Amino acid sequence: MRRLSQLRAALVKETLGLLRDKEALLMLIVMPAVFVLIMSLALQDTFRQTIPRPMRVIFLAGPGVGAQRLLAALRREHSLAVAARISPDDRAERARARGLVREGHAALAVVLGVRRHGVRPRTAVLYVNPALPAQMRALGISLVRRAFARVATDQLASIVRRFAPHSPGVRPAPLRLVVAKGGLEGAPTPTSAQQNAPAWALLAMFFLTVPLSVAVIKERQQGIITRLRALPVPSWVLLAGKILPYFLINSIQLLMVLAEAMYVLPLLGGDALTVGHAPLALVVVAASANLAAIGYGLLLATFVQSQEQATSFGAVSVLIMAAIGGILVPKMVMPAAMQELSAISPMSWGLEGFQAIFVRGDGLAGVLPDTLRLLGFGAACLIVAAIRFHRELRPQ
Amino acid sequence: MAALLPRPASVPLARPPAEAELAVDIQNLFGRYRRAERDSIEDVSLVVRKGALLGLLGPNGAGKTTLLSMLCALMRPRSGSITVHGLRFAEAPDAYKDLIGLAPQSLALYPRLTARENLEAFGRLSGLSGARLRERVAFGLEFAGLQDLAHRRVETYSGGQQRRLNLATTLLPDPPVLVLDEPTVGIDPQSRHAIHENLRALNRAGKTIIYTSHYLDEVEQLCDEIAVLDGGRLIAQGALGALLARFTGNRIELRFDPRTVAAAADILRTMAGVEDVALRSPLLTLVTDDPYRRLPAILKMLAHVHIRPLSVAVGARDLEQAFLALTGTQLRDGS
Ligand SMILES: Nc1ncnc2c1ncn2[C@@H]1O[C@H](COP(=O)(O)OP(=O)(O)OP(=O)(O)O)[C@@H](O)[C@H]1O
Ligand SMILES: [Mg+2]
Repeated sequence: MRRLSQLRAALVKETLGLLRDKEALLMLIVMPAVFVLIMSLALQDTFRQTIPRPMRVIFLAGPGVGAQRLLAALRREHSLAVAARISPDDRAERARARGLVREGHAALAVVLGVRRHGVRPRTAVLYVNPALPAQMRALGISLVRRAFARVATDQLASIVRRFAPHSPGVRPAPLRLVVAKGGLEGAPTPTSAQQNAPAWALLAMFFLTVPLSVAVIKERQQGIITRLRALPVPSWVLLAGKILPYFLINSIQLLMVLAEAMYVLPLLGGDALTVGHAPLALVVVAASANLAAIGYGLLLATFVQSQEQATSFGAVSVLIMAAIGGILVPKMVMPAAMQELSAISPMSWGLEGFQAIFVRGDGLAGVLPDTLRLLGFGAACLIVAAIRFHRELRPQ
Repeated sequence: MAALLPRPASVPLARPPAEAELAVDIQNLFGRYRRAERDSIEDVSLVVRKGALLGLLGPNGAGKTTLLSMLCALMRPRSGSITVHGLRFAEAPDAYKDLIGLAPQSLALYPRLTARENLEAFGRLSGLSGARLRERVAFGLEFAGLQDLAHRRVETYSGGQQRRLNLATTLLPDPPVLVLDEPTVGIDPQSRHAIHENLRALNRAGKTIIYTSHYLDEVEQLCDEIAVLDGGRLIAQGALGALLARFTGNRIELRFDPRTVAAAADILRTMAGVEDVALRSPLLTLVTDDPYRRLPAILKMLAHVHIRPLSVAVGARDLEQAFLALTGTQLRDGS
């Protein structure tokens, strides 16, 4: 009971302190919100540069009415440049098309009538160039889908017209489109928003190191720590009081930044952020990155001796982590050696986690390694910080 | 118990206190900071009765804060023992801490929180909750005289208002022993007077108070007992009046024209019966075996060389003098 009441007091005083710290709020909330907009817009074209327009599509099918209709529908898409090859089902032909896509000579290949295990003849397979930026990948797939849907609707309409003008329940067997996964390697690249939104959100998260350690130093420099040490309150209560408010403010910040990139960015002419379809994985990555940031902040706070140290060490170390981790400079423009080096930065783990969800459409399983790294790092920092904090509070 | 008070300079209390009457019992305490070369507290033994109002005095760096830190279990003694109400810290840390309220020398308040929020936070951290917390917070605001400012952030308070709140925060959990490290620094005489009234009332209600201050007049008015630390050692402890008589009864203080004071000192050093001459221009303090008997001869000797003191004082004047006699230093510059 007593501990609970003490914990409440610790939470309340830290939360109020943080909410009234204008500089901290500026750094933790306003900075990422502004940066995401500016940087996403500024780097928009850089992230698009590699995209040829319109996208080249190889269309491979056997002779038949269905194939002709599909080809016509695809050709109606202005963003697609379709090269068609109508020939009897031919393995070598298919392999060649796949090879052209993989090597980037074409963005997509639509192959009809593939006969393979588990796939029915009326199924079309869509091969996508792995190096295609996510934005274009999504666009390409959706354009092909639209063409397919149009053919299906036309078929349906004609069937309905001909045989059953009054029974809407009748529909033809749909032509299934399968987006090929196997055999094509290489990671899709993020859009400008998919890079910048999580990157600056992460940077701001880790920047809590500065206000957090300054707050701890202030407590130490004023008599507060003396009073706290003289009170019957355990160190873990005080430490817990410091974790939650920062966790909340970081979570709010991330939500704001994501919402901004999804809804505000397009209003300013940028590409909207797409966040994948794995909210749970997103929550898990966000929480782990958050804990890693707080752990690092608390650890630093137990080492620095003055506000100046807190500010300079805090800011510099976080910026270095960010520079290495592909936050300040996107990883895809780094040389290979630097890309490998970036794996040592916790911020890079966070970014990878977010982008796995946003860009690759991964779920929990896909983000597990980065999540575990973040949690491990956060836990290690927290444990050391807790020990040091406890040592500081007990009789010297 | 009498054997526990063997300080050479201590003036024994009328009756040695029984164990159960002791609020604080410190025996042969040594304390050293980490990486320090010498002890900041050396062999200090000090007992404080329940209900005492003890003034702890000493020049800067004497070890007052260090002694109080060990009392409040902030610092581990190198050796020696401390019990508060018969309890050692190691026996029951939380219960021990519940017995003591510390007002730290440096302000211990969250500047971005209001007075009320500070009181509530520290109240809860002290273990208060519910109706009792509300009642104590109201008391604290009243004690600090800050009811009207309760909703303003502490950073907007004057130094004196912050000090008052600092003290009020300490009183919140209503512990039996109050340890106040210079609680009135920077407070104007009026507020200080009000605080003293409040402290006296608390003392009458049974609180034991240990009070350090650099204002000797304040200690003189407020405290009934004094302990003096110097260089980490306890050099005197006892009732105020007895200390004054004992340490300043053998003194003569002469004030001169600053141009002649050095010459006067040289002459008086050679006189029979003058044990010590301390020169602090324009003051000369003599320690003699019998001030009233020696004074005529001293004045005659000075007249002989045409030096005339501007004023003469014999015996105990105030605590300031006693303090000077004890420690050879003034407590504050310029006083
Ligand atoms: N943290 C510390 N580390 C090392 N030495 C210290 C520390 N704090 C105090 N000291 C030393 O211990 C001695 C006693 O200091 P203390 O603070 O107890 O004096 P004080 O009587 O409270 O003085 P003041 O009247 O200035 O408050 C001094 O010599 C001081 O230099
Ligand atoms: Mg002190």
